[in-house]
Amino acid sequence: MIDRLDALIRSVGLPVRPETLAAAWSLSEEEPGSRRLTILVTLRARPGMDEELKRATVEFVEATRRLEGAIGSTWHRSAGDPLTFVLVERFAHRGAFERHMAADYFRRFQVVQAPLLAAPAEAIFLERPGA
Amino acid sequence: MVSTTEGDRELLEALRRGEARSLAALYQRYGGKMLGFARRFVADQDAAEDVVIDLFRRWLERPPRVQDAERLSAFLATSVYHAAVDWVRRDRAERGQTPRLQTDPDSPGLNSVVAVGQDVPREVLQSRLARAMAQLSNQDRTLLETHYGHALTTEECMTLLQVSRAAFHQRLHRARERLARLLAEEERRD
Repeated sequence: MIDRLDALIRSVGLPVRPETLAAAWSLSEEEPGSRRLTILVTLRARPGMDEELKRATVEFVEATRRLEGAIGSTWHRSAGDPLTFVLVERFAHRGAFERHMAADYFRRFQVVQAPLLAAPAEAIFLERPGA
Repeated sequence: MVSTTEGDRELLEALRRGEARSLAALYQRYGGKMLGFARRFVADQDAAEDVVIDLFRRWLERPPRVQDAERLSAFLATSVYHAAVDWVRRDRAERGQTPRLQTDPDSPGLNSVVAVGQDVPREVLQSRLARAMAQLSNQDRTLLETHYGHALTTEECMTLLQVSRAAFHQRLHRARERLARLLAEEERRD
C-alpha cells in the first residue's frame, strides 16, 4: 500500500501548505551576492513585423549563446500579446555583458530591429547586491 | 535578514502600477532569499536561478498583485514554490524523465517518475489526495510535506516538531500508512 502511495505522489505531486512554505521561507538562507547579471529585454513589434522580428531575435539569441561569459540567452513570445517578445540574457559578469554590447552581432541586431519595433526596446537589469 | 519595511510598501505600489523597473528593485532586495528558497526544490544553483529568473520574466508580462506588504514574503514563497514545481515538470519532460532534482537518501523525492492510475484523470487523483491529506493531523501533514514535498529538510522538520531522528522516521512511517489508508477509502468513495 505504501509503494502505491509513493508512486501516486511521484506521479501527481504532494501540495505543500502555505504555512509550511512560510516556515521553509523563514529557514532559508539568502544566497550570497553574485557577479552574475541578467537582462530582461522587451521588444514590441510593429503589426505585421512580428515574424521578421522573431527571425532576427532567434539569430541574435543564438549568437549571444556563443559568447564566452554568456550563461544563457532565450527568447519568449508573450502569451497575451503575440507582438511582444521578451529576451532573457544571462552573463557571468559585467565584462561579458560589455563584450556582448560591443559584438558585431549586437550592432547588427540594433540595425535590423529598429524598423521592426513599435517602441524602443526596454531593458531591466537583475543584479544582487554584494556582487 | 529581510524584513517588511516602508520600502516594501513603496515597491508593491510601483509593481501594482506596472512599473517594470520595480522588478529590478524586488530582485535586489529579495533575489538572494528567493534563490535560497528555490534551492530546496531543485538540484543546484543554476536550476534555482532558472526558476527565479523565469518568475521575474513572467512578472514582467503580468505584474504580481500583492495587496499587503505584510504578506509579501508569503507571496514570494508561494510563487517560487509553484515556479519550482513547474520547472521540475518541464525539466523532467525535456530530459526524458531524468530531472535534475534534489536527492535525499531519506526520501523517494520528486525525481523518480512512476506513472500510476493512468486510467484515472490526474485531477481526480489530486482531489483524492487533497481530501485524504485534509483528514490528517498537522504533524502528519508536516512530515509528509517534508518527505514528499521537500519543503523542509529532515533536520528542520525534526526541530519544528521537536522530535528525535528515530521518532521522525517512526512518525513518518505511520503518517504514510495513515495517508495510504485514507486514500484507499477515498478511492472506494469515488
